[in-house]
This record gives sequence, structure tokens and C-alpha cells, in this order.
Amino acid sequence: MNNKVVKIGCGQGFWGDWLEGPKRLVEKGGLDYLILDYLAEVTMSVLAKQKTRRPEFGFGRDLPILLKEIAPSILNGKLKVVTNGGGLNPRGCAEAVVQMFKTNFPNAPIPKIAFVEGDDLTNSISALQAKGEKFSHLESGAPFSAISDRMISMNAYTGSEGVVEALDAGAQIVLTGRVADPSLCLGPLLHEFSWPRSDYNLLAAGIIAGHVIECGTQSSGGNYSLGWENIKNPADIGYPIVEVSSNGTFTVTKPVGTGGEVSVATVTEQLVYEIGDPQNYMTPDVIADFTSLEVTQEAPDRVVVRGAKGKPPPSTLKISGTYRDGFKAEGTLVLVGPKVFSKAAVCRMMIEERLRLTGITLEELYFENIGSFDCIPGMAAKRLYPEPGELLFRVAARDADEKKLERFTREIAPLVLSGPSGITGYAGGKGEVKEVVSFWPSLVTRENVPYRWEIVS
Amino acid sequence: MSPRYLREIAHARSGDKGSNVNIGVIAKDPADYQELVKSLTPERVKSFFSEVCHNEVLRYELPNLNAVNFLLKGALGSGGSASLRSDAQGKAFGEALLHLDLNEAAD
Repeated sequence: MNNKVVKIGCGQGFWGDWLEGPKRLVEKGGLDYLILDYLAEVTMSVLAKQKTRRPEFGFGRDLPILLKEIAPSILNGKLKVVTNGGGLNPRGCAEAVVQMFKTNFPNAPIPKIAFVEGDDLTNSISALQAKGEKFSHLESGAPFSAISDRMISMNAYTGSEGVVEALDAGAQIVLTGRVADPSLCLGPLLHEFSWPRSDYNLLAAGIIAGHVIECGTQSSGGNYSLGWENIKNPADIGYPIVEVSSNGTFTVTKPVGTGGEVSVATVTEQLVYEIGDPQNYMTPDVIADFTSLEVTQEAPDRVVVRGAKGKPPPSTLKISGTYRDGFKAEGTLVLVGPKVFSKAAVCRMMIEERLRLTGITLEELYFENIGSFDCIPGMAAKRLYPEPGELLFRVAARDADEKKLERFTREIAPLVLSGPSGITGYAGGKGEVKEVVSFWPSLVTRENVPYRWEIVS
Repeated sequence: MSPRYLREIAHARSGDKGSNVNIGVIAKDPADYQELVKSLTPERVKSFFSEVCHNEVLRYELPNLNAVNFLLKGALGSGGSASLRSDAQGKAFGEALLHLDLNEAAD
């Protein structure tokens, strides 16, 4: 029996997570591996936008800075890092990381830095269409031709294969493109335990361990619906760690002495997060079943998860596509009571009427009364809470025509002088018009997405 | 009848899955799991979010976790970065659903 335990922590749950997270986790966590999950559907859109402006961008540009903070642990050979922060430009990311080491640690040998690519299908769409790929929209079924001339990027969610091979070759830092979030955790486990690809229960265990930590502190006391009021020291909340055994059983924990909580409830909230059908959680490595899991509290801040089941992965990979989809802008005003709903109604009427007077019709105009449970349409009407003493009036618009939206942004501030009394909070000035990059999910045959990896240093 | 809010027996977390909203609802006490299954039907969730749920609502049961998971198809509209809503990614739906009154006659 192999008693080895592999300790994997997650120090970023998304691009933009707490900059101190990875450093504090590495200092106190005693990790074998640090994973950093950078990519969400929205993130791919942001990276795609940045890469269209500057082709050398398109990766998490704060990643070299994060790695600099934890570089001593990497340089002394104790810690390895796996991240999909390479985004749409893993090679560029790897070069930036090499440069960071050269600049900041000139006397140390540069660690082995690998990038994994092959997920980026942007420039092979025509060739793949010739092979019969359709790229129609996964949910609506709309044909790819609807957006083909506006397409910016097409990346397949890929599995752990490239990560495993790069680690097998001695890589200490692995920078990937659109490797699926939980596969970042499975990769090191396959490397350490040499689990056979055909043991789907073990693959599922590794994927579920990854799912538990991929959103950072969401499993260790963050966004905790049941008990957020009683979370201790949330400012120094501990980022999550899984201690995985060779049989796939894993313990969820966090560094000793940090804030937060790891309990059956915090872990269960994360287990059911964004999973869709829990018997068929689709990943490029395996289809995982969450309905056979046993979750038990073994000790304070230590929760054991066992019993994962898995099935062979699908023959297709999901694609995360992005395309130009017009523009949007928004503005807000603070309305002071009494009668904030009546004031908001007057503001809304004035903006609609003034746009009409100006001859501007927008594809979409959307109003929210923030402070009255209006961030989900229909909730405010339920009047779950009394009328607030102040309200954030928010108006947002969307249109294919950037100029119309520029004009729209001029319609908000004048209400401070012309609207109801007691309007403030417009210090931010005129809202900025932003390009909308929308998400286009579709499928591609696995064989048409060959992965590659390379050690650059 | 005095209200009995879902919050009294359950906690929840939500997020996006494409243009769909995913809401996981967990019984605080395993003894209440059956009430969740019986009362918190997909129809009832759809009716609670009637203004944004124009398509089907799917429910999956996880008795091992005393949880049910909902998928509200298309509830984010254009979804993600294209959405004009503050809650473009469905993060607020879980907290919102806990306001459902279990004693209110289901529509």
C-alpha cells in the first residue's frame, strides 16, 4: 500500500483574486503543488480583448508578479506550480516568467518552466470545418456562420495530459492555455501516483478534489451561505488544500492558524457549485459522479471526501469561443429618500424620453434599482424589504453602434440638475463605452485537438 | 399561516453555467432533506424566478450530500460579459431563493 499523500493548494480562484493569497498559502501550507485557476468564461473574453489590442498579451499579466513572491519555494525545489494563467498565450506567458526569474534572481539557475498549448483552435477553424467540424452554438444550436466574421478566439477545454507529461519531464512551473480548471489538480496526481487513465474512479477523485479547491476560498469559508457571520478572521482566510492519497480519498483543509473554516457545510456548498448534472460532471479527463461521495468531518478544519465514481470522458471537447458582440455602457446615480422608488421612476422616464427626443433607439436599455433587491429581475417586485432610505439607480445599454452609446452616456449626469431633488454620487463622471465580447460554447472532436508542451528554460 | 422561509432549513450557492444559472441547495439538517425534495420542486423554483425563467428548470438530487441542484436554463439571458445585469453571472440566485416561503401555496 502506497501511503504517500500529495498536498495541492489553490492560491487563486479566478484572475483578480487576492494577490496575497498564493504567498500566504505557500508560506504556511507546506504544499507539494500550488495551482492557480485564472480562467472563467468571462476571463476568456477579457483576455481575447487584450490580445486583439496587443498580440503579445492574452495571458494573466500579474502571474509573473505572483510567482516572484513565491519564487524561493520553487527555486529550492520544494514547490511546483501548475496554472492555466497562460490563457490565450501560454508561450508568451512562459517567456515573461523566464524573464522575471532572470531579472529578479540573476544568480539562481532558472527553474524548468513549461508551457502547454494546442487548445487554441482560432487559426485552424477553416481546416477543422473541412474535416466536418460544425462549431454550432452548444445551447442554442445557432450555426457558426452567425458569428464567424466576428470570432476572436476559439479554445478547447483540454485535459491534464500535457500537464502530466511536462511534470514527468521535470517541469517545476507548468503554464497552460484553456486546460479545464479541475484538470490542473488532476495533472499532478497522475504524475505522482501514475494512476492508469482507465481507472475512471481515481480520475474522478482527482477531478472532484480539483473542483473543491479551484475556486479558492469558496471551500474554506468564503461565500459561505450557512455561516458567514461566524467565520473567524475572514481577512486572513486560509486558501484551500487537498491532501490526496493514492486510493483517491482526499482531505480538504487549510493552513493552520489562518482564518476561515473547512467543514462539511463549506465543502458541500462548493461541491454543488456550477456542476449541472451531478451524475455527469463533464470534464476532458473523465465524467465524474458526485452522488456517490461521502463527506465527513475528521477533525477541526479537516474534511474527508471519499467514494468518487467516474465514467470514460466524452469523445468531444467543449470549446470556449469568444466573438465581438457590439458595445455596452452604464452609469449610476445615488438617489436619496424619501420616495426613492418614485424618484427612480422619474429618472427612468426622463432617460427614455430624452433618448427618444434625441432620436436614439438602443438595442437594449436596462434599469436597476440597486438596494431594493433588483439585481435579479422580478425580485424587487416581491417587496421582501421595506423601501430603502437611498437607492443606487443604475442604467445600462447595449448596441452595435458605439456612437449611439457615447451619446447615451451623456444622458445620465444631467439628471443631477434636471431630475428629482436629492441626486448625488456622480463623481465618477461619464461612463465608458466598452466593447462586448460574448461567449460561444461549442464542441470539437477530441482527435482534432492535439496538445503540445515544451520546456522553455 | 406564518411564513417558513427556505432559509430556515437550507443554505445555497449559485453561479453560472453558460447562460444557465446553477443553484445548489443544501438541507441544514439531514432530517429536512425529504422536505426539500418534496417542496422545492423545479416548477416552484421556476415560478419564484418567473421573470427570468422562460425555459425549463432541471432538478438533480444528491441524497448523499442532502442537497438538490437546480439548472435554470437560459435564466441569464445573453449571459456573461454581454449581460447588462449587475448579477450577470447568477451569483445572487442562491441567496435570493432562500427567500422562498415554503408555507406559501405553490403556484
